[in-house]
Order: sequence, then structure tokens, then C-alpha cells
Amino acid sequence: MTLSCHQCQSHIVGYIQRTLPPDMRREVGAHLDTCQVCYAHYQEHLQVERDLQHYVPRLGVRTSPAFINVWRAMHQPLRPRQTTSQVTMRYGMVLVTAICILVVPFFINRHHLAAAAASTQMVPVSARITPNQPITLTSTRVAHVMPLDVQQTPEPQTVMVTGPSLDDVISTP
Amino acid sequence: VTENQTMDDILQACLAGDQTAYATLYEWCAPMVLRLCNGILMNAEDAEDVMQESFAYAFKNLQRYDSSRASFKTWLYTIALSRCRNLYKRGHWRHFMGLIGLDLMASAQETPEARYANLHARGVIEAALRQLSPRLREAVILRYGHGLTFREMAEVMDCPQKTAESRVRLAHEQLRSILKPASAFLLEELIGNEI
Repeated sequence: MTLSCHQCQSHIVGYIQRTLPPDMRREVGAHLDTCQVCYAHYQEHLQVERDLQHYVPRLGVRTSPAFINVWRAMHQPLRPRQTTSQVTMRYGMVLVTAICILVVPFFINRHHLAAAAASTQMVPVSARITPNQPITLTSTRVAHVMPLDVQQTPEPQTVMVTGPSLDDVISTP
Repeated sequence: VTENQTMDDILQACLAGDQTAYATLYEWCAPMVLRLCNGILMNAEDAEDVMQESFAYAFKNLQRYDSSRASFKTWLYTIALSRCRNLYKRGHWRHFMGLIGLDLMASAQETPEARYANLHARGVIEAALRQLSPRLREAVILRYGHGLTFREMAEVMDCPQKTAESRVRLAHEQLRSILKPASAFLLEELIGNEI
């Protein structure tokens, strides 16, 4: 079995760190001997390995704090976990949000219901209502229009009114 | 407490309530735990806090340590790593980034040129490590900074051994791509100076 470049490159770190099984290690080695691209890849990883081995052990070397500090800390009760209060606070926030979500639409609906109730009262209409024309009063007689069903699309209605016209009424002393 | 005492003897003395034994144990283990915390958290003050917290916890719960399951060092590392994770889970680690350098120890025998080159290289490595995710950085610090085997790493990081191996491999891949432009630049600079 011969390795592809992709397979070989995925095993390079294992090859450097000697964690590959012997068969695989042999195959990766054979591929590196023949493939310049993978060999360049291997060289880069080798450089990273050297840098890490050289610098990381010296990372963060500092003088330790005095033992007495730890000794004092050991004889004090451990700090209460902050997560508990944070969790409680988070639950509280969730509760408040849930209440708002439940209550606010109710008030909004109440407002809408009130508006709807006002609009369904019997209104004096004595007009011919068409969508694109201004309303013109033809009579002072009051006609009662029953509220429409909300689901229903209102059709332009013509209210036929018989009796004296507005002009007649106004001109009548 | 004498220097020839083994770790087991010291632990026994600690369990018997000997304060000097605790001090000896601390002197032995504190530098490596501090280095671990400092490498992972990349902040000196927080590393000290986490280290002290870890030792206080370990000393208080010393009777829970089971030498047949893991070495004392591994047990201590597990405690310290868990506390480091708590710290950066709370989001505190983000503000560390880019604030303070890591104070890498310089060798006294370095020439000024070598020291300058080393400082530059350290800066590059440190910056590259900062770009890794916390899990990958933990793997690098445990593997290269403390020489743990993959099995020990798996115990400390609380994951399967294969996961520990793949974290090191991923960290290697990422570091290679991060360090590649830097090394090319350094090489160009070097060639330019020689010409």
C-alpha cells in the first residue's frame, strides 16, 4: 500500500513524535524519501517541534508565592462559588422575561379588543362608500350598519337612503 | 523531613499533620504548577491565584488522593487545569490577551545577539500560542512544557488518549501555518543582512 501525499501529511506529526505503529511509520518514511512536497512539509513540522521543545518549557517560569499564603488559604473556608448566585440570577432573569412575554401581549390584545369593540358599535352612516371616492353625505337620516365579520373582506357598500337630501334640510328654516 | 524522603513519605507526613511536610511538598510542586497555570492562562497574577487555590484544595483533600490511580503530579495538574478552565470559562481570560508578556526565563550565558534573536523568536512563539484555542494550548503546554505522555495528558485533560494525540497534532498544524510566514520573513531578513 502506498500513501497519498494527503495521508502522509496527516501522519507527519505522529511520525515526528514516534506515535505511529511500525508499519505506518515505515510507509511515511518511504513516502518522505521520494516526495519533495511532503518532505518540505515535514521540515516545517520539524522546525515547529524544535521551537516548541526549546521555548515552551521556559514559558511562564516565575518565582512561586510564599508557602505561608497557601497555608493561610488552606485554613480558610473556600470561597463560595460565584456560579451559584449567577445561576440564581439567570433563573430570575428568565422568569421575569417569561412573565413579560406572557403579560405584555395580553395588554396589547386588551387594547386591540377595546379598539375593536369601539369600532363595532353602531355608527351613523349615511354615505355611499367607495374605495377611491371621497365620502359625500346625501342625507341626515341615520342608518345603522351592523359590524362586519373580521375574516370577511368588506365589499364597497351602497346605503340607499330615501328622504330629503342634506341641502334640503339645511335650506329648510 | 529530609531530602531523601520519597513523595509517599512526604504525603504520609502531611496526612499526619506535619506542617514542614506540607512546606516541602509545596516547594517541590509549586514551580511546575505555577508554570502550567502561567502557560495556559498567560497571565502571571491569575496563574498565582489559580495555583494557590489549587494547592489549598489539594492540601485540604489530600486524603482523597489515591496513589494507585495516578501520580501526585498528575493529580495536582488535574486540579490546576480544572481551575484554569473555570477561569477562562467565565470569560476572564479574554482580557489577558495582549496585555502582559510571559516573562520567559533568559539564559545567563547568552550573547547579546543570541539574546536578541531568542527574544524575537520567543515573541513569535508566544504570539502563536496565544492564537491557539485554550484546549489546544493546554495540550501543547502539557506535552512540550511538562513532558507528559499522551496517557498522562489524557488523564489530566479528562479525555481519551486519542483525543490528546489529535489535539497535539491539530496544534502542530495550526502552529506550522501561523509560524510559516514569520520564519520566511526571518529568513529573508537574515539573507538580506548577510548580503
